[in-house]
Amino acid sequence: MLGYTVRRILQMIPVLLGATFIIYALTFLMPGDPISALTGERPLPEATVAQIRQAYHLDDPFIIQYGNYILGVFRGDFGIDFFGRPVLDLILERLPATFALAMTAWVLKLFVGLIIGVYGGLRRGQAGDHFALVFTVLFMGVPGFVIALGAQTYFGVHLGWVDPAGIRAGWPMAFILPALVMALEAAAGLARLTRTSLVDVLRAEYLRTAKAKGLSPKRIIWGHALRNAMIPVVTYLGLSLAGMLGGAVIIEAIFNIPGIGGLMVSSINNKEGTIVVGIATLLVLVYLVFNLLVDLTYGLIDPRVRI
Amino acid sequence: MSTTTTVNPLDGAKAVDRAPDKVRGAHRRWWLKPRFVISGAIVLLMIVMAAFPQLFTGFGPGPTENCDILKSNQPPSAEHLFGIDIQGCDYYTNVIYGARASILVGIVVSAIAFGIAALVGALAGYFGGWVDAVISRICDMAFGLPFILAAIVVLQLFGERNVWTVIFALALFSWPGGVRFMRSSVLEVRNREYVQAARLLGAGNGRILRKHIVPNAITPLLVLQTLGVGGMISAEAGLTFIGIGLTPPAVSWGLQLAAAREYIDAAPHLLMFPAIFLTITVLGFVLFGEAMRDEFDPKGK
Amino acid sequence: MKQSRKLALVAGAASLMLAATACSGSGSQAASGNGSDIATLSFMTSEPKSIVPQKDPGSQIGMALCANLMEVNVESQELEPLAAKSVSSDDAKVWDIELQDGWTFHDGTPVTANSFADAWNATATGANAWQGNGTFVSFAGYDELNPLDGSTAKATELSGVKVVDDTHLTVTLKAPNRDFPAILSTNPTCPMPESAFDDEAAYDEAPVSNGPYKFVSWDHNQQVVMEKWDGFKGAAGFSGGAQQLVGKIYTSIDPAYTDMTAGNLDMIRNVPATMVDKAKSQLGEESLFEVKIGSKQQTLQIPAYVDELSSKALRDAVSMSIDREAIATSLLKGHAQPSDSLVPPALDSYVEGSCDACTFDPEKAKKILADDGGFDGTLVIESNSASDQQLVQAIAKQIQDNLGISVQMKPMLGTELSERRNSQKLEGAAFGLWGWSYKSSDQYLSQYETGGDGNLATAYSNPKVDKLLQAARAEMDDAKSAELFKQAEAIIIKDLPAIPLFIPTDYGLQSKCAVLNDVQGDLQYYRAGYGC
Repeated sequence: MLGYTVRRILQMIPVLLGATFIIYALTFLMPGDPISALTGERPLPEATVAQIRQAYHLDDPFIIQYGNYILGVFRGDFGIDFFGRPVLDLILERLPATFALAMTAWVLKLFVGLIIGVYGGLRRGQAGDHFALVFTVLFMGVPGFVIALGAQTYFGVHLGWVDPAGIRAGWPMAFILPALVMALEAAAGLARLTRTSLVDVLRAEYLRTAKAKGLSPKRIIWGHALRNAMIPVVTYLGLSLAGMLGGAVIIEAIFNIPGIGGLMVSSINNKEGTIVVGIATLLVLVYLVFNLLVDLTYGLIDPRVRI
Repeated sequence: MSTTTTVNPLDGAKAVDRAPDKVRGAHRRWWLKPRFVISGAIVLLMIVMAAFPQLFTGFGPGPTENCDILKSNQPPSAEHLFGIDIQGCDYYTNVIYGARASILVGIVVSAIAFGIAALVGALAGYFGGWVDAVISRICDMAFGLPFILAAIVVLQLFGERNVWTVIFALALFSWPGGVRFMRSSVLEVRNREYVQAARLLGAGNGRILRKHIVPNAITPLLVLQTLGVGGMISAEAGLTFIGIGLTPPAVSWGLQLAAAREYIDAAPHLLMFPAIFLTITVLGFVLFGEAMRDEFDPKGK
Repeated sequence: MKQSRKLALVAGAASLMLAATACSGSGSQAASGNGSDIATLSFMTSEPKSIVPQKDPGSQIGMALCANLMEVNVESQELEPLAAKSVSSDDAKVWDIELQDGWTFHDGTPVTANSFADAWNATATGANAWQGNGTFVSFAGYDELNPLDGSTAKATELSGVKVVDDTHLTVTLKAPNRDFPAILSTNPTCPMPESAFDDEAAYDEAPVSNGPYKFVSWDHNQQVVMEKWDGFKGAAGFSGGAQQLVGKIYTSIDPAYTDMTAGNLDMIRNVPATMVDKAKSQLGEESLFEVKIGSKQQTLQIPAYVDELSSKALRDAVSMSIDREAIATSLLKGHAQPSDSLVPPALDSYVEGSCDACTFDPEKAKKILADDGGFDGTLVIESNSASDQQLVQAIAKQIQDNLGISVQMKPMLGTELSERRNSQKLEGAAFGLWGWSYKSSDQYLSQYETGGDGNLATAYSNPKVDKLLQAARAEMDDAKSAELFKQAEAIIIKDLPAIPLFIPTDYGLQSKCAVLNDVQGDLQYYRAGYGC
């Protein structure tokens, strides 16, 4: 297990390099000039442009720029933005809000999705199952921002239960509404998956064997079926948490949560490559760590999967 | 730990006998089941609407023809069932024509993702070892990048964004999830009794993959990607909504929703109609996927 | 380009928040930190890139923090000396500036001639890359601080700025410019205390200036708090009514609006037309503040270097094929006026109807185009995808339908559009929004002067125009100067390098406690009165 973990951590290095390289290259190729973005639409005097380009090594060949960047990253230096602020600070400043939102949404999703999914799986084909299906899919089908704006207006403005925008109220009050919207949107996927997986397992041969051996239905469901049904679900859950960290752009914008999503979009718009790549690097890292945890969890819930 | 891991040669033999045969497992006259009929009708209707929008608009003027800017933003009326949009065009025509982009993006992206994921995921899961390692690392790269960030950056490379550009960007980053998924399904299946039995009986890798692994591991992926059709339709709408998806003069529900957002109070009908169509479409595709799954499940009843 | 500044302002609109308790109306939401009774107004802003005035010319926070040499007095709506006792010149080229006696910064250190000279030298130094740099282009010595080849500057000071004594300095410009006093009212010309240069990083986070409000705190991504400085010696017309000003940070205007409907925010500026009617019904008529002077203009810029569009008849035909009146009343709901000149009506160089081709006449348009040999290419309209897309779409559609030519919209990121403008790579027309930094004809017409501010967009160049504009700037008499500007505009409009479209009406939103004000068409949050 320890050896495996070490090996996996070593495997992260090429992935991190590859992913940052891809995003760095794409940002590099993007049209638009970061310097011209610096001053809005007022052209900076040519001289100034030349000096900034030099200061930020923007005239170096792409591969040299990337090399310097990645060497910096391994030293914990993510570079500075055009206003001289360290990129890492900019990101870390916004990480707590994003983290609070994603975690809250993830936990809510876990509850909603698993309960509906397990219920549907055990009552397959019955009215409750159909109802659960339509309920979750409705939330998936209605465009997210419609739900978000509706919830914001109703709970935030009309009822006044929570602040409609911003995080001044702190956790949990400021995050509960946006997180719930995110959770409901994402719960459909989890619920369908859990249900499918559970139904599959319930029909599998080994459960028949177990039944034939005279195990009680309760023991079969809770002891074997759920455990095995959770394998694909755990993959999905683990990776979706990583995804949620970078995927809340619209929700963040609507509820005015100063998180990573907003920073990402604005830095792409301003072509601030160092920030874009910084965020990407960090999120890839988070993903890799979760990925590892997921695979380690496999070994715990399914002894047949050798790791 | 329990009996589940015990290989019972007899069970295996039986499974080998049964597993690959899809047709026999299916319900006779499955196509008459109500859930299949309803969801299938929705899907069919949307596909027909996407392919031949003229059928639904009485072969009248197209979405951007016959507009009158002076009539900008009118609520529904007898003459204009869905009202008139900001540009003064008949909204019913626009919403009908909007189906094409959404359906095309949803189906094509999901199909590409499904194809890649099924193939690559099966290889990774079945062979393991270095094949798995290489595939998994590549997936990690593509999957680890936050989807929206990657999509935005890729989409920005194109000055003009039409349906195919959006499909390209979405497809580029939407397959790795399926690969991981397929891989774990395969991991689960490959040690099943019937697979081991087939191996004992001397079947080759290709045959085992084709006959046993893929058919038995693919249903969860199929469900995931069917849900994905709806998801991709939503993703297109979402990207367009934040201004990096389709651009006018393209006509899509995403663009309509994005435009409607600013008029959410003044003209709720602009939001309502594309939202309803979008929801029904997603609902239709998911229910259809579920129905298909229930009927064609290879693992027997 | 002024445009940018205005656009930046839009994005960064600050919000005034009323700290609740003071205003019974919104009491329940008071929330903000200090539970005291001080008159607080909150305003909408985006997370500032910088709150140092020199580093963000459009910063509303910078405006509140800094007392410029000249400033528009809200009460008189005239440009008056503030930190200066007088700013004067005989030839519009060499300017004498005399400072007020005994003025200090927020920390008590005196404001001297050096406080200005040092700040100007630093801002004008290209290597520092402060955004206010361009303001000093017209100063003698600017070129030495900004060598064209990107080499290290040989000078460190503007040769045109001379400190005579503690309260007296002179500025020599490259060429006469009657607008110099107005330039002195903009953020980049603020003074800086010596301490700013000792620890730049600290100053960036907590600037010390000399304005009516002093900096209290900046909670990144949340809010910037300022409070009224009792050491401010300017007249009431240069300040505002709030004891405390809170810039609440929003990522976009929509959540800010929602927060306002929930009673958590007091002021929003640059309210889009689509939000105006919504606000009218949800927040009430009294929440709307209409800026009386239209300071902005939307145009369709036609770059001179795009050969396809070089036919004057084609530009005329395009202009005539746009039904501005119809778009203004329907799509824009009356929140804009059709424009018929290259300057907005508020400027004294405006001549009504100077643009002949701005009258809607599709028949004539078609005829002109046909006589000219038609147009079988595609008219590309490039625009910023983040703004006015419905408007651009409507214009494109009108040209296409009324003229029968093919029109293609090309929306793109603002950064890409500005790069294409600045590097002269536009492939067709561009939708442009221009605004003045201070009220002056030159702010508009220099777009059409060779090498002028914003000239890159159209690349229009006409020696006759250049000469007239130089003469107009050098003319100290208002009426005579306006006459010269009029002559220049008359020549430019005949060539139609940019097609005038609309003068958008500017709106602000205010809570019950905020009383918004504008200064010559610019809504500045810190000038708001407190009405609770």
